[in-house]
Amino acid sequence: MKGLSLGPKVRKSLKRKVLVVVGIIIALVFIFPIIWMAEMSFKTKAQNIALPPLFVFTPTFENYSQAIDKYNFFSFLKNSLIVVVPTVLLSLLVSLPASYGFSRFNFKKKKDIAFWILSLRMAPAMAVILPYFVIGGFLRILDKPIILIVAYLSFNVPFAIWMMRSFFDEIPLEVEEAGMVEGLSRLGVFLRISLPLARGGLAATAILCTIQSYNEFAFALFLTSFNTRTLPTVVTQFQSHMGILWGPMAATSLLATFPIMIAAILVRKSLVSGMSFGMVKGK
Amino acid sequence: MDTIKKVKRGKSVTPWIAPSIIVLLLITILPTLFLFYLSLNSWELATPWDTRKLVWLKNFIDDIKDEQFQNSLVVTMKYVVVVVLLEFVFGLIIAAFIKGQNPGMRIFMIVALILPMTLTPSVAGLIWRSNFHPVAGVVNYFLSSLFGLKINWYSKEYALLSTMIVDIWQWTPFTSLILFSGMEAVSQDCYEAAMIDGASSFKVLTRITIPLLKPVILIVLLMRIMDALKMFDVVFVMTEGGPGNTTELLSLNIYRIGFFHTGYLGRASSIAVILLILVTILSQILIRSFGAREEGKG
Repeated sequence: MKGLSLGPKVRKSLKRKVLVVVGIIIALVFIFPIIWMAEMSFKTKAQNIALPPLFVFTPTFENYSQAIDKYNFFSFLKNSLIVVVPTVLLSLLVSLPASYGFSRFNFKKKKDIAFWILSLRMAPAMAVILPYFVIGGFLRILDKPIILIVAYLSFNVPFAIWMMRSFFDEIPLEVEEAGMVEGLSRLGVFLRISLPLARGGLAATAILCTIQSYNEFAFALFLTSFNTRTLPTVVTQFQSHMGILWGPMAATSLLATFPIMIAAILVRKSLVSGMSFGMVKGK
Repeated sequence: MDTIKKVKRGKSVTPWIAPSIIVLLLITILPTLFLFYLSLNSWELATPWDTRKLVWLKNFIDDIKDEQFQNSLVVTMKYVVVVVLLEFVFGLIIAAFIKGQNPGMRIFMIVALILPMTLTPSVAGLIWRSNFHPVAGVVNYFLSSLFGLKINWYSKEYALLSTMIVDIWQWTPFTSLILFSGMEAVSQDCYEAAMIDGASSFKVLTRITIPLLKPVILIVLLMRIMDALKMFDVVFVMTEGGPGNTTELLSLNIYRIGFFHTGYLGRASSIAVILLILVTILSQILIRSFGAREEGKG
């Protein structure tokens, strides 16, 4: 780090220590609620409403066995995956050629079309849910995985096109030209050269699509009711007339979100560029 | 970015992009047109589709006259202004802090910031609902042991503030990380030159960092404004718009009118159209400003 003041060494090292301490405090503010949720998942019912709140206690695994046996965690996880896996695969299938087209071709109205696609990503969920709800009723597909798979394409496809486009943009043209000289068709270049070179970006795009589909709440709440409930809506059902069942709720939440958080940390470098549709490059 | 203008093989772009455009037309544009149609009709949920009546703009007129809609507009504006402003200010400060750290601390802070963003929003809402519990919640525990304060977060006065705090907790990481990436892209020479001139940290921030970051700042602000405008999940889980209508954002107003108390799908659609228009205007500004930037790159 390059210090901003040019004081003596002592002052500089003190300043550095303060910086580290403040950094740790900032980080704690953001992680504490998640750690607290983890603690809740290992507490008994009484410990969870204890006053003052307990920070140190003997953990119990009761909530986890309840989440799995009584509240059918795995059957809801299955519901989530039945929606998420097809929607991510379909999104990539549709978006990959499109993103390559936007990256490598010049054509009329290219920019307008690209920005039109981007604007679709920004539509409010509620404006999509109402027509989907009515049309879904006509087609008798409410509460079936297919309606969520299609609904999630509406935000995944524009997102994946923009994100993958920025990864294809990074591949030098010379590499592709060399392939063409060797007699590969445009499709051959795409499949044999560009796609393998962009595989890191492809993995990041797939993970981000998975995260946003897996976390989605509003569509799932209104377009499904009993048979296709996905995890984000299930966690809200731990409310009884006795109040919220904090322990099982926290255990279910942690089981549901843990894989997502790990995946996000793994692709942290692409996260920033992904979340800004490639507008800001990640570091 | 350069593009290959004319290559012998496969020069038509149509097969590359047409499938995606057809899919998007079918799954987004058609439903939006149908939403417009719904918004011009009076139709109740659970009544046969044939009982709908074309009422043209009556739904919109009813919206404007409806006090609860007006309330939702005001609540939404308050929510957007407060959360976006604070997320921006905190984001700028935290970004500067990350920049000052050694590599190990940087990764630690970045990982800590990623977690709230990727946490399932409905889960985030639930955790914070428990944290804000007036008696047993940790927030009041810390407030009372540190400052002797006890706040009834579930009350009419504080419910909106509590939902704002969650938004700020979950999305300040977004502004921090994007602004940090922006700062990293600013050439180190600018900072060094300023330091040689003996500028203070504050001056470096206001005179160099912020002006150079302008495009990134614009993107961050607009994206946060759009997301805050359409906020639904966290607030729904925390308060369902209550107590009273104190946290009823536009999305929650749509939910209540369309699905919950009443089943006025026509009315709800008209509010959704209004929300869609608001978001579209903002997204156009975002896109224009970004488009201008791309043009500049050549």
